Amino acid sequence: MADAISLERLSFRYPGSSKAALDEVSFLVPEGSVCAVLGPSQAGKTTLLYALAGVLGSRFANAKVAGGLSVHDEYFDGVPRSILFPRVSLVLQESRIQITGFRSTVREELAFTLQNLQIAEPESAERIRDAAEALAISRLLDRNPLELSGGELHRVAIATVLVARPQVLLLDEPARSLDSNSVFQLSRALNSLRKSQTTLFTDADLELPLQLADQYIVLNRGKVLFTGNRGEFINSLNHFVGLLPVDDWLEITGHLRRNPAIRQTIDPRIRRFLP
Amino acid sequence: MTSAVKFDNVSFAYGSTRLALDSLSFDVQSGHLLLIIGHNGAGKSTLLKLLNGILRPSSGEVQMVGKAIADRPTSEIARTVGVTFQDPGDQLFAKTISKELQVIETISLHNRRWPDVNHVISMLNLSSYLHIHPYDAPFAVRKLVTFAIAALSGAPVLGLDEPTAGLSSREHAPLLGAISRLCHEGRTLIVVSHDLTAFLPLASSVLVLQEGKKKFHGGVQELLRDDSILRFAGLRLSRPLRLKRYLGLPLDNSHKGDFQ
Repeated sequence: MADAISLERLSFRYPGSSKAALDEVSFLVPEGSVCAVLGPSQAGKTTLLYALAGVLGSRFANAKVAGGLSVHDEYFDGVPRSILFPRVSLVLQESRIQITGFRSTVREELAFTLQNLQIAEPESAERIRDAAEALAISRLLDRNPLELSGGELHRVAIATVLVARPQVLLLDEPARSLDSNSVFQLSRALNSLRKSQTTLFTDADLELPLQLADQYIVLNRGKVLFTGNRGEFINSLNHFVGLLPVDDWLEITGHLRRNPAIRQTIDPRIRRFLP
Repeated sequence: MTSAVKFDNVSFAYGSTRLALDSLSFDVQSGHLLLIIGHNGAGKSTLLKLLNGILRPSSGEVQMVGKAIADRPTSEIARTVGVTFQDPGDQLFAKTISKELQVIETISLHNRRWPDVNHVISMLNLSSYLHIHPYDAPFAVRKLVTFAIAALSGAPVLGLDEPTAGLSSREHAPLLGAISRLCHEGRTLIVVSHDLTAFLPLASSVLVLQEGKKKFHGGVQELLRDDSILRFAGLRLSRPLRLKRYLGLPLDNSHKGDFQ
């Protein structure tokens, strides 16, 4: 399958900073897959998303950049110089920022994106319906966005960019400050979108990644420490002690390894959460 | 054995309306960590303010090492109890982080065996921030500085309000290591936190508050046996902790060493 994203030794240094925020970062993300970019704060996760979305290139003309990246078949020397929306769409960590705050219903909030893209009826109604269905917010369409819970509002924020039908969806720490139940709903929603686009999200925790991601990239201080698939990642957890909250997961994987027969005896509803 | 901290039938009301704390009794032994959990408005922060004398009980008594603190001025209580608040900005006032730590190092009146200022700086990875103004430092750093000050004060009782909020997992480990070490040195910790993953392994006991009343007070294993208490407090165990419980793995650190 073709690669939706490819980074080739991409380096980026913010103007005035002495150290690289991204330091020769290379990886490939196949089309239609879900990729988790993991690491502690200051690892370069958000910078990486901003590079892909075109935010860095449009905002920091004088930054020091080397290497390059491709989105689908388009190659950029360095980072894209303009925002790639709607082809590449970014959902910010603070999802509230993404909500206009003056639309009185979720439906109008989603319609606002489509008005900006000059997409008219009946297509706009269809896109809103599809996005709402995918993110399990259909029953919220006539509610006021400001009355929703944190988890609901977050899914609405994702829907505001999803209606643009991006090829690549970028999410900055979407699981942050969500409880386990909201994380599960989010993982189900993002899972249902697999066929229509490629998703790349960042996280400092492992709960959402382990439920959702096909590919795992661990960053620390701007450098790639690890890339691999789910199985490879789970087998490497012990390398990330102190960088990622792996301790409890290590105890679980250790227990399952010592008692391999146990897995089959576990309720399937719980088994799907096991690493 | 005398308790390090004892609340004896303590009630408190802001103004004349509902009681923020209602006939609350509990005690904590020296060297133990009491974890306090509960919804917003359950009375957790009020409890910490009663602990260091910023607020005084409407009725009942707060005792430190067997003595009531009612007649003692707040400034004197503050030497026995160090409290950090949720927002570190409320507590920092020196021009640099280094000065902030030096001030407390000099005025600390207690016989403090651990830590010294250099140890705290290296343990919490603060060395690269020493010469900058507290407000130019990231939130997490300011938060760690207020903790460092409480530790350096030598106060035998420390009250910490959401100490891990806003910290990433890289900053978690050294903070939790330091807290564990403080308990080992005989300091008594009262920690208000939603972060069960961080504090259940360190807690000797847990107090669950609901609308100012004691909903539960007991050991960690006892708390975890019954989901309904946690749910009452608006909390759920994180996914890995629930999986561990399902698999029958211990959730506290009784099977591990005290600290590394």
